[in-house]
Amino acid sequence: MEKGNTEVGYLEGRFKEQNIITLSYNKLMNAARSRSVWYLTFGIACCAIEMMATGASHYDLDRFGMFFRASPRQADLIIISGWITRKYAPVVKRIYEQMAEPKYVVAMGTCAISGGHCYDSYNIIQGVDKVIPVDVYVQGCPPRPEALYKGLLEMKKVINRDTIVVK
Amino acid sequence: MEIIDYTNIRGDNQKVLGVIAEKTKKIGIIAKLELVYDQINAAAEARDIVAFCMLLKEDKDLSFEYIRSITGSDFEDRYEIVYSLYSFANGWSVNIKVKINHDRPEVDSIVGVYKGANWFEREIWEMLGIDIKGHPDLRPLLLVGDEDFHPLRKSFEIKWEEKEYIPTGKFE
Repeated sequence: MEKGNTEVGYLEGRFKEQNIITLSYNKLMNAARSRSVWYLTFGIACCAIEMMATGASHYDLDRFGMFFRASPRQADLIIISGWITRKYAPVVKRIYEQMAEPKYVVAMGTCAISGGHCYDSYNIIQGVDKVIPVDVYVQGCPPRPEALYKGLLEMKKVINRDTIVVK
Repeated sequence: MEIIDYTNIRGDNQKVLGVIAEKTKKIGIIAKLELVYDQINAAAEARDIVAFCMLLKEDKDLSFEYIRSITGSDFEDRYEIVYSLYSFANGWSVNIKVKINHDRPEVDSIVGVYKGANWFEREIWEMLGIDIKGHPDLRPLLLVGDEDFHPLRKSFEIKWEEKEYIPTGKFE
């Protein structure tokens, strides 16, 4: 790989000696945060299979600095990968509340977005955004791994919007 | 120690059917037995179900020690519950069909005989609204518990409408 061409290493090889770089604190923090988003080990339905495939070696979310994290206390991101039933909604809400700020939510697949093909069921919540706030919607049934990590890269824009004073 | 390969045992169903018919007659249970697709179907009365299950489980010749499933259906003029029993020792299975009155749906619990029937009966209770008499732990299994309908009844209608999320306030 050619030096200086990658987004992450854009300072690499530019300076011959020690230097001081000035930039806004928000930008620094958001640059760091958006490149190490740890997401919760949390699968619900069939979309979870695609989510696992996205995290595994072939599609490899690790290259974006994203890792599965098995505790909501240490996770930044929760991917809702399936439908939410009325019985399960309080559990999802509780897990979301356990996560530390700043936290982000991706609704993956039509079931999490709107209830999907179970839209009219007696037991299905019509979209997870009725329970917890959602930042990025990834459409598909299920979305392909490419679609999911496109969505996750779009989420960088959401993170870059954040400021230290106001979320 | 003798190792028995249970996977390849196939019982002689006609013979088992004869044994069941003989034993039910002896203790006075009315059961209409027939062989359908190499499976024994037994149509029994709802009031006899506990005694029937007890016979099939405790009898040494039959020994149906495992309950595979209990399913229920709504036929609009009646409900039907199918108890599917299996014998690991002999490789036999039997399906007991029970008709339930549609106006006053109730049936005795068989948890006293088969402990595994617990969750099956809870599901039938909440999905079809059939009262399970004598069940030790009748709580909602898949539903939240504040519903005023039974989803698997034929009279239940799906409504095409945008629904708001009603918090259940429950967390277990």
